[in-house]
Amino acid sequence: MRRSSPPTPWRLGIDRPLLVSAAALVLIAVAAQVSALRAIESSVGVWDHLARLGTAVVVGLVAYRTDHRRLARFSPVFFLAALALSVYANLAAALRAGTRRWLDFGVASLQPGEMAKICLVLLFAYLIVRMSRESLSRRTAVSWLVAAAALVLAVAAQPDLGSAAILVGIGAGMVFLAGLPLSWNRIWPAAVVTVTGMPLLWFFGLRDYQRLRVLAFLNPESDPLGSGYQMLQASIAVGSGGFWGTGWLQGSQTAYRFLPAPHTDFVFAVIAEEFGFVGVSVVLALFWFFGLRLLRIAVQSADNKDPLGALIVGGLFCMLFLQALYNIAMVAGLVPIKGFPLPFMSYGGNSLLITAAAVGLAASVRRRAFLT
Amino acid sequence: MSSADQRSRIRRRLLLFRYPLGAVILLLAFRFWHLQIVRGAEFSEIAQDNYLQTERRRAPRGLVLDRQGRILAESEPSFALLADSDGLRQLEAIGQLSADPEEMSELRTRAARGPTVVRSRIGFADAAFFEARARELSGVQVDFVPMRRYPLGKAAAHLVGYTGEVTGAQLLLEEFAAYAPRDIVGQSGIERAYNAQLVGSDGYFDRVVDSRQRMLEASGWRIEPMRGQTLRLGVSAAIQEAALAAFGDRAGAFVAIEVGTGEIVGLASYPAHAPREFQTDENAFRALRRDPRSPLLNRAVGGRYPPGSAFKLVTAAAALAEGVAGPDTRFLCRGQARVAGRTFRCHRASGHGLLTLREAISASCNVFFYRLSELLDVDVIAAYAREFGLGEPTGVDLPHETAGLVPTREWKRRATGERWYASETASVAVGQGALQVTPIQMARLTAAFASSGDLPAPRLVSPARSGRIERVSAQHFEMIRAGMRDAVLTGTAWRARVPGLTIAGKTGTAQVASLDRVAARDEDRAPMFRNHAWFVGFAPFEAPEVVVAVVVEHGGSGGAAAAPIGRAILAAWSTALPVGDGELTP
Repeated sequence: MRRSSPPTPWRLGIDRPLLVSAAALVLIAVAAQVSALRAIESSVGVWDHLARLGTAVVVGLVAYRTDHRRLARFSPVFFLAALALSVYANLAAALRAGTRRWLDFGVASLQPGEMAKICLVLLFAYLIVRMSRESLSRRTAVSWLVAAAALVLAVAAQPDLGSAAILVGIGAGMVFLAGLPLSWNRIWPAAVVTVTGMPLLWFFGLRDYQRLRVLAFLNPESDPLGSGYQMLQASIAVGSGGFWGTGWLQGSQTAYRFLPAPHTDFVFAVIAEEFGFVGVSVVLALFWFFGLRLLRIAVQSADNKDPLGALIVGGLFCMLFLQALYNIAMVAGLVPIKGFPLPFMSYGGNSLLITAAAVGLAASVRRRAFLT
Repeated sequence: MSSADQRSRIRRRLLLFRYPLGAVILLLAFRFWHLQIVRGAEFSEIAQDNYLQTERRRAPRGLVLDRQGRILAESEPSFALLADSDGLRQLEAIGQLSADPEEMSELRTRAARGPTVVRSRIGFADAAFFEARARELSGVQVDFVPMRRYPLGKAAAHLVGYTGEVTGAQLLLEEFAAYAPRDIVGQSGIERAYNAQLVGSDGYFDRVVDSRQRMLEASGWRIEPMRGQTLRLGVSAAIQEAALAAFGDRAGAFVAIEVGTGEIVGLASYPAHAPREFQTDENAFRALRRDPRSPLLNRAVGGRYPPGSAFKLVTAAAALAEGVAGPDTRFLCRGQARVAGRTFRCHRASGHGLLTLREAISASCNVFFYRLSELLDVDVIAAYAREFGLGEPTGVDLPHETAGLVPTREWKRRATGERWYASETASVAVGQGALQVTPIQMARLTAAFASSGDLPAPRLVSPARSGRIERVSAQHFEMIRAGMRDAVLTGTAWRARVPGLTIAGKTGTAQVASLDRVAARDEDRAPMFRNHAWFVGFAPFEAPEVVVAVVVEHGGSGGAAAAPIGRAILAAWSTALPVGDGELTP
């Protein structure tokens, strides 16, 4: 390990606000999980969720103790491993029938799509920094881009269109951070107009049946009426929360199983129902604060001549907030239903582990920026 | 590109990220504000509709009791199996449906519109079977439906009536304004007439269900069901049963009423249906409607018959009151008489000889009354018949009553365009011709004779005296009653004699077809051309308390067919309710 200074106490330079806001989100989620898991009468209870949280904390600590520069150097290896796993998942599932999002390793199952996200962040940060130092040939860079496209395709083919879209979003966000070629700057405003214009068109320009068609196109594997029902039930759950909420464990949409996937994709609806607009505001504020904090860390790293750390944390920001905001917008009924877990909050080991690794990594980058 | 340049660009662009982040979070907050604050109440209501299912629980109908408290109609718990389209498939999968394809296609059509009754009246065991499988059979539900039970069965079928689903035509009526399709209402008899009292009010039960409509817990009554009122009738079950036994499988009807009050103590029509069979079984109901013997017709109030010689009571009263006959008036019967150029026969070919009015009533001599008809105008006879309540409904509290017919000159002119012939008056005087009466009219009429002129309003519930006949004096009534007593002691109604009870009565043998078209002897005719047999009577003779009117369709002679039935009914009345019993509460 290449260290410029003698070992410092691990607490020094830790980003308390970042960790406190993350912990607050996790604790609110635990309360929602108790309610949701009770309703679905799942064989795995809230203790299982706590055990996964414990594992996630360990992963976070490991990430925190890891030097991101060293990690970045290994990122091509991680990336190729993620690519191999994704391809393997496709091949394995070609023999069986069904969805290929999960790789079952007996004791634990792994979602290659989730792993791929963080690997992509590291790889892109590493490649961008090396390109700027002119130590990477254009040809190599292009071949890595082709590999990244292969990963996106492999994940999309699982089929995990959601994760594939997130991967594209992460890549686009990081390329944008690094600075696009000049000619791309003309495309950039057009992209902004398109991205902001689509929701406007969606809500004001289309009729209901047209929206159903679009939904069926975006989501061919699911029954549009079925997803319409889920969306409606989520809206009812959210709306019936009112200002103060129905109270913890008192949400009828959750308790009587009208809300779909209350512990995973729709956990935010449980919060909205039981803790009302107050709870929603608190969680949104925590996410906002957490996001600003991440950006601050990235800016600090850039100021401290650590473009790699800045790009990593910027990429992690894209990864976490593309998912979080889409998930919450989905609960709010603003976007079609897609199976994105809500970082920090959804039940499920993979999402929690990746989130914890991201937080640990960000804290690690910050610590190093703080100490130098 | 220098490293510093790159870092400052990254810095700038990182800071740019704050704007979409803040914008999206504010947009989301606005959206949640809209959903939770602006539309919160609306969604709360939808959420409640989601999990709180209000279920209507039918109130049990009220009891119907006889005068001694015996049950005539009661509700018993029963369960019905309902299924929607999914439920039908689930039931089919576990082999719980009949294989009849026609029945199945009908069920499917109905189930497509909503949960429909697949099987009614399932037992506790079956109900438990389906309840226990509520999770797999999510489209199936077991519904509590109080069913009606009629312990007397055929003995009181028309009296008590039956219940059934409210019909489309009924729903248009004001009386049924509060009902919805598939509601059970009284369709006949007491069930129909006192539906409003018997029906009670339905309860509404809230239960908590999950997204798959599985019941999680009972929430409680929103409105508790109220059982219908108990109706206590003056009717005696013992009389109903005795009458059924006496009639056997003959068609006809009887009505027994209390003299003073007009309270009905017995009423039946035959052939009778078993009232339970078609409470839900439409096929059984259709078969009954098509039955040529018309088992659904309540002959006691809706059957129209010529009264035959039983009408002689009215002719006699008219003659006495009009002064054309008195206690000493005598006519000679030679077995036949010529009236207005037509020859009429008496039922005794050898003739009755010289008779008084009293003797003529006892012997039911036709010739005597033919002679009286020569002294009375048909309109006068009709006026007296109307005075005794014929030709109009009695107002009994049972559905489908008919008025009968009392012919007059005016009626004939309007009905046929022809004038009245004097010979027709002779027919009317002996209860033939166009005259048509119902058994309940005859019972009411007989009560007026028994009470010397009090014409009651026959009712099952809350009886009341309706009128008084002033034209006929008490002495005249007494004279006619003496003739009726003689009829039982020595005359045509001798078969109505019974030890220990002084019965007075009058028989009637009403011709159905004219004699030139059918055999002279009644026994030689085809059943449908045989005479209707009548008996009207009261008891005890000294202080009349109860009257009975019996008609046996195509039963032959009144003395032979109807009088024994009248005797059985009056005897049942006297044993069920000893004479002078003061406990005769309605």
